[in-house]
Amino acid sequence: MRRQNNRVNQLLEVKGLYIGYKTYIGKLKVLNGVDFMVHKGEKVGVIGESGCGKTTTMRAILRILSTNAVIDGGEIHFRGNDVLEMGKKQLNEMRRNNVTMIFQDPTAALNPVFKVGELLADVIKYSGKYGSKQASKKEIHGKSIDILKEVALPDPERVLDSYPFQLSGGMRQRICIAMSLATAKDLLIADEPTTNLDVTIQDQVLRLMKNLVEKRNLSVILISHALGTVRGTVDTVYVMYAGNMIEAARTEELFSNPLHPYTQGLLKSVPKLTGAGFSEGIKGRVPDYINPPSGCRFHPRCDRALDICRKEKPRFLNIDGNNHKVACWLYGKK
Amino acid sequence: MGIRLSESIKKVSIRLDLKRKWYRFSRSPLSIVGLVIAVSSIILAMAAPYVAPYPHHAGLFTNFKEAFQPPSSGYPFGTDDCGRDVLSRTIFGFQYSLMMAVVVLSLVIPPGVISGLIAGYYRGTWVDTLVMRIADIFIAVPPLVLALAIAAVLTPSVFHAMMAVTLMWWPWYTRLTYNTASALRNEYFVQASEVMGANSFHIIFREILPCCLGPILTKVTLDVGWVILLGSALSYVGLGAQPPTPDLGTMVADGGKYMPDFWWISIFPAVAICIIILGFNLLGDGIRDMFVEEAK
Repeated sequence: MRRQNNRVNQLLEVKGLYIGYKTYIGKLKVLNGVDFMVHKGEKVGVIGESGCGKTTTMRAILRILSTNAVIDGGEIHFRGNDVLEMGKKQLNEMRRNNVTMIFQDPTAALNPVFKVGELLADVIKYSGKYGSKQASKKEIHGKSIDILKEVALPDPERVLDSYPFQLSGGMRQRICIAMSLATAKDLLIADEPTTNLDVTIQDQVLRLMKNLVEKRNLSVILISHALGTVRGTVDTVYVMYAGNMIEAARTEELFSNPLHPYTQGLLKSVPKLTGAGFSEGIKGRVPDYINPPSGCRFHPRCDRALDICRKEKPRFLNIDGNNHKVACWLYGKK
Repeated sequence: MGIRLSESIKKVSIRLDLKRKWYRFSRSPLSIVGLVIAVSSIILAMAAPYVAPYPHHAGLFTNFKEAFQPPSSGYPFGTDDCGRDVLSRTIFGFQYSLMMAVVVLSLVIPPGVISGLIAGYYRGTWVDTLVMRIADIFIAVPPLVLALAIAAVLTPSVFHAMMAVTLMWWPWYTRLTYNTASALRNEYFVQASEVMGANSFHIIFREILPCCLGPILTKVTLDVGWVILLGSALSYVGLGAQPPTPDLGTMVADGGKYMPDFWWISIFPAVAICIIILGFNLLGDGIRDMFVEEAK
């Protein structure tokens, strides 16, 4: 009974996703069986080093992988439909009305030859959210201003009449958020939305996003390097390493009781204001994806590696009743 | 008060943009020279029947009494072997040259740009390979040889010369647009619109095409000169306009027989060709400067 209830609540489920990239020197086996799940209204954070496959996973969900990417296996279910099997029409329908993404670089995410007003008008016209395509110019103008006011942009009239390069990074990212949220209804994927902004603006943008998302009861996947950002924003955290989800738990649980040696290392590597000396960090780097390590991909960097770690990949299992999942041989046998 | 302030900023920002573009263009005096030459040659061509001192000399006309007159006050550029005024014929020659450029370019740009956009958008797929290899085949044929072949099969005429130039010219637009479009295809703003559910048509024509317009416009302006040159070359070797059509290339070729004694018959049309090409090239450079600055 409880399981069934869970099913109804679940919005997105990624199961055993394997993705590689074909290159001249060989095939990069990046994603190595990613599993994760987003429920309705849940805010999920994904953290991990650069190059561990976070962005690849998110792009797979929206099917905007580059042309040399190969999906080797796995399923992505969005509201019960397999995204990887969708036709063009269904896919566009999903992109228009259900899922949206905010990119890392707000300077590049707006077409430089159009004014903000024209960009917004396109989104409003095609979203279908604001009625039919025959929306009059006046209506579109009014709605554009409403949208800009919603993301707390001052002087929306002037912003509508500006080209993207005339605005600051924070303003542009807010416009990106405004455009995404003008269409999305269920899930927002934010791929390091604050990386290119300075710290005060980061805070503003994150707060704004959080408010809008809570107001509309959207689900969110927030990708970030910044552990502090993740801790303050999301309900559930997934830790990703070299193409695998290695740990997942409620935010407080994960930060207070990290289980995987990688997560422990990651949390230790954060410089503390009170502590003396340098933070510890994790030795080594993300592995080479052409010949990834056998078994658990983290074993060459792991202090506590066992024999079995070299041979077999640990499964991503629930180790207590509290939905704290971890993929490590140190906890639980097969 | 807030409203009034934003209104005034709005007006200023629009004007600023045009003003800035014009400033960038006018910074180089050569661009202005190019613009003046281009505009005045277009005006001259359109007003030819009213400006030329002897408009009827452009057609079938002979007056052997007045043949081979050197430049004088009556005939500023002299007269040719049939006694026709070289100045009048040169002015009418502008008409044919510019018409050649306009017809060829308007035939060339739509297929070239659209095929380039499609190939660039589908970069890496079979569509890309197909379109670009076909373009390569057309580029591989030298234009004069193609024109000769067409003239041999059909008859040499202005129309067939235009056809030959058109056939070899469109792939250059395909290549230019392909390069720009395939680079833009991976830009975040294109992906962002894809993510928002825009269809391919919208992405190709509303997102990618407007960003390609700068390079295309520059190439068009530069190409006006080159098409005129190629058209004149074809006429010069007898594959283009046929006498008595006052085409600049034909006039240079006709006068060649009487060089160097009656130099004015060839030299004035040749100088006219040089000036038109120079003018459009300078204009093209100016337009390029305008857009290159914009891209930064």
